[in-house]
Amino acid sequence: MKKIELTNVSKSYGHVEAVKNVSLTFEQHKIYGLLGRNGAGKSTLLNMITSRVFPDSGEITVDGDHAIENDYAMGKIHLMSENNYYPESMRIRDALRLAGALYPDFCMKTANSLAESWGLDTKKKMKELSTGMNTMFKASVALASGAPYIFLDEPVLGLDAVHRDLFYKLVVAQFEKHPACYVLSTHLIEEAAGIIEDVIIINAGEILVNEPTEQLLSQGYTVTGPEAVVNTFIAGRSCIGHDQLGGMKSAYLLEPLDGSQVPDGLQTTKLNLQQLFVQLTKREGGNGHDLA
Amino acid sequence: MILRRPVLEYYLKNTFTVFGWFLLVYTAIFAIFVIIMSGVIIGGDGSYGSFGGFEGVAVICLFIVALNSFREEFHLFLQLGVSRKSAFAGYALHVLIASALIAIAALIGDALFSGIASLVGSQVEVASLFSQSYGQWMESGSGVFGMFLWTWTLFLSVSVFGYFLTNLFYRLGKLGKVLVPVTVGVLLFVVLPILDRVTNGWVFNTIWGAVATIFRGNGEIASPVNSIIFFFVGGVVGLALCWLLMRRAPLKK
Repeated sequence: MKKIELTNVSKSYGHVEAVKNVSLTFEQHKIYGLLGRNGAGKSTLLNMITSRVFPDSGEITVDGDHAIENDYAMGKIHLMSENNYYPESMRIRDALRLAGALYPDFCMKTANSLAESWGLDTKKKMKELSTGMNTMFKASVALASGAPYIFLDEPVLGLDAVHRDLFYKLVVAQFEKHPACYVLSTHLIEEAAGIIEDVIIINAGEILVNEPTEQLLSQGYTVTGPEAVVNTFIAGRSCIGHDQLGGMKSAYLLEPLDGSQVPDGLQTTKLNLQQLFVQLTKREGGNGHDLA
Repeated sequence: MILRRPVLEYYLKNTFTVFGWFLLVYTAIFAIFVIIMSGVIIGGDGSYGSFGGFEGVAVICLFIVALNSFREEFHLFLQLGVSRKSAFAGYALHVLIASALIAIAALIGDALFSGIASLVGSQVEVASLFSQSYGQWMESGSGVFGMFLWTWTLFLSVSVFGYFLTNLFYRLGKLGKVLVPVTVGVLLFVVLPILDRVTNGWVFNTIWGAVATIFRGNGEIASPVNSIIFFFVGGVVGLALCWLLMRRAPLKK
């Protein structure tokens, strides 16, 4: 089966364990969301998949082939990084030409059309690009790369609301045209939530959640009401956090909800992906906030 | 898939773009020199002018190009899915080809500039590094081929040395970046002079003896053979060291 497979992959920087024994699979024809707080290990994970840094242990394969330092495997992956690694004096059109020469299925027509959608002047040099324009350029290369696995690390960095909207539309349009594996690593969770099929949450170098977005969202809900009633209701349930304001308490639960079990006086609302993410990843610093 | 053509082409294009600019500047300076000397000669004051060889200046150009050939290219190629071994293979082949082609250009350039200089008058001379060092050896018959080999291997070793330095400094941590230049400085200007004094001049005599053997040979007439071997082996060993430094190099922000 065509997939990227990580088996027990770990990476440390000095005493900091950036990625801890991660096992993960990225399948084709899917859009993944790779979510995590700052320093959670997202970029390290992506950098290891693309051989930019070496894992300390574990194995990474692309369609069954070793990924590390393997041109054949590396040619199947494109990582749009948060940083721009193109030479400052390089013009956009030259970068597109070089990408076209190195990626076997790179589509120059798509690249130029994407650049045009963004309003990018391809005669410009990298050093002349603003943060947003840098993102537009890198996104154009990534979406036109024709690679079967496209990783987008902070793909909307510096883009205004209109351009962010355009970006998500372009990803979906490109996915329909070229149904590869897309992995979006972003902090703007709610914006990307609409197009993410599977969600992977990484926290402190470990995979916390790896399941279809719909399935995850179907289990997350908030219960709000008087503190005593809420406490009774959540006893023995999978509570992932809570907030308290005076005598009122909101508890965040992650388990299937049977509406008939909810007592009078309690309100239940569905959690969105961002709320779920916040509750799941703030646990180490205490799983609740008392605001009163 | 070790050697990838676009990688090789990228390196060659970069080197030849810089070399093209260098050639333009060199030609412009030469033209100014010739014009000034023509005026002086026509003025008849008997002045004599000597213009340094093309390859001597090209060496500096290639060294500077090499110093700027690692970080950006390494990042660029990793960004575009090229493995370290492919990037290295592209660089290594490029340096062999580019130094050979620039060596040929240096031979032609020197002949051309010498011709132009001789048209101006006998008071103007273009003297290449090679002809200055191995003038008598050149008359032995294998002059042009020897000159090519010497210039090619010189360019090769200088380029590889520059690439090695930039590669080394990329891999070194903050402490290493301070320690390496300090250690080299202390070794050259403190340790060696002290050792030389303690050994009654044996250290520097041995070093100069080795340098003379490499660059002049042991015969009556200075021969480039030893230096050709030295430059070539140095270039190959340097490339091997570059690969050892590069093969586990991580991408740095």
